[in-house]
Amino acid sequence: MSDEKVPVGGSFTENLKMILTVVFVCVVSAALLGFVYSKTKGPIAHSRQQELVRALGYILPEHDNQPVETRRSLPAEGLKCRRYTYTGTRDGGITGRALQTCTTRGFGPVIHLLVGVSKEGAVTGVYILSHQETPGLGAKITEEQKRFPWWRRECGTGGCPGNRPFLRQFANRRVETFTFKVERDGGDVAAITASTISSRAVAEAVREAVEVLTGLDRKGGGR
Amino acid sequence: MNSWQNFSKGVWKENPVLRLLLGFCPTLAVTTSAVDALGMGAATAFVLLCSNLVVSGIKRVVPDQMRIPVYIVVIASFVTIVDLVLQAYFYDLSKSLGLFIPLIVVNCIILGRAESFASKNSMFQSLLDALGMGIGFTLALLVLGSIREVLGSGSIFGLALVSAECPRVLLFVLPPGAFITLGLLLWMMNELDAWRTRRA
Repeated sequence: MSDEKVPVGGSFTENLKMILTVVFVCVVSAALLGFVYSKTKGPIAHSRQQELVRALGYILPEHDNQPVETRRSLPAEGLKCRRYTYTGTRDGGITGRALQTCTTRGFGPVIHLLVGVSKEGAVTGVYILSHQETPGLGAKITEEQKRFPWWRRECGTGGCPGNRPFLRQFANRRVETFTFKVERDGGDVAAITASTISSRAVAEAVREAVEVLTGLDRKGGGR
Repeated sequence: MNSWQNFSKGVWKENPVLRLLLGFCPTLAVTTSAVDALGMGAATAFVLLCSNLVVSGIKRVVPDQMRIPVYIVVIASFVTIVDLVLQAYFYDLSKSLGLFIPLIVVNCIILGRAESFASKNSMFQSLLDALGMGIGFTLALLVLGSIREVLGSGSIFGLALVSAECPRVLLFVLPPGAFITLGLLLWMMNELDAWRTRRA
């Protein structure tokens, strides 16, 4: 910060120069950002799709189809994202379904997640597609339990989805025997220390997903 | 000041965290583990490098009164570009580093260096300054993150040091632990400096 007095409102040419400089800098950076965005849009969508395919393979019970091709839209009133279901089949029979949904009840803006439920109504896996929870606190919803130092990759691309302690506690749980709420709210989900809000958001999103998916089956939604 | 001093001052004598006491928001928030600290440090150092170069390059054409808004636009653009490029070409890395990227914009070290150094010095000297400051920032975060991870989680770089039954001092991964660790580090830095002057 300079100490000398900056005159308020200089001559016309000085003011014009000030305005033009800021406009120029903004235009250049906007053009640059637009260019980078258009160049990276395709690769980003491609990476997301690949992640979705990997995640579906992990959270659905044994299947021999391509679940990503069975995508169906579901109504999602009041949600900040679209809801989709995916179906896993083996030898033509349904083994389980997955719901792609989101929640805004976390600490960050939106948590996108995939929840897999078997034909019998038990959770087969939970995968967080994206989130913006606080690093070191809420971000622990996706933290992996490490057996090796960080420079050694344990499971290849995408990390170890089966080795995330917080999400693993949902595996094989059913609505009848497990309350999908954090312990503080009288449920069975062990929240992450100092991150009750993020834990609660995920727990409730999983419960809703299970309800939606089992509801589909009850209605005979085998479309 | 010669080139070497411009580089090395950021590491020790004017370390952004431990000497200038700048950029505490990310420092305190993301140093719960060594890996997070390293990620934040590297991402910040990269943006600092880019912004210092550009700010130094355009210092002659930017009117004095308009420099702060211009610097903020430059920094925010770089942060967004880094975010998009990471997502497109280093998807796995962006999954772990992506959370820190928006935090870089609010890091006052970057604006601080643009204002107090890059806007007054050549591009080469600004590059050295950014490198030194970036390394100093990363090192300070790494030390802080390692101490907090060892004491609070009983691990280092995600590798468990003690058995699961061994109690941890949970306080150190919580926000108060950040302040306590930082305070102790600052105290040690000052003691070390005082000892060195006494000896000299």
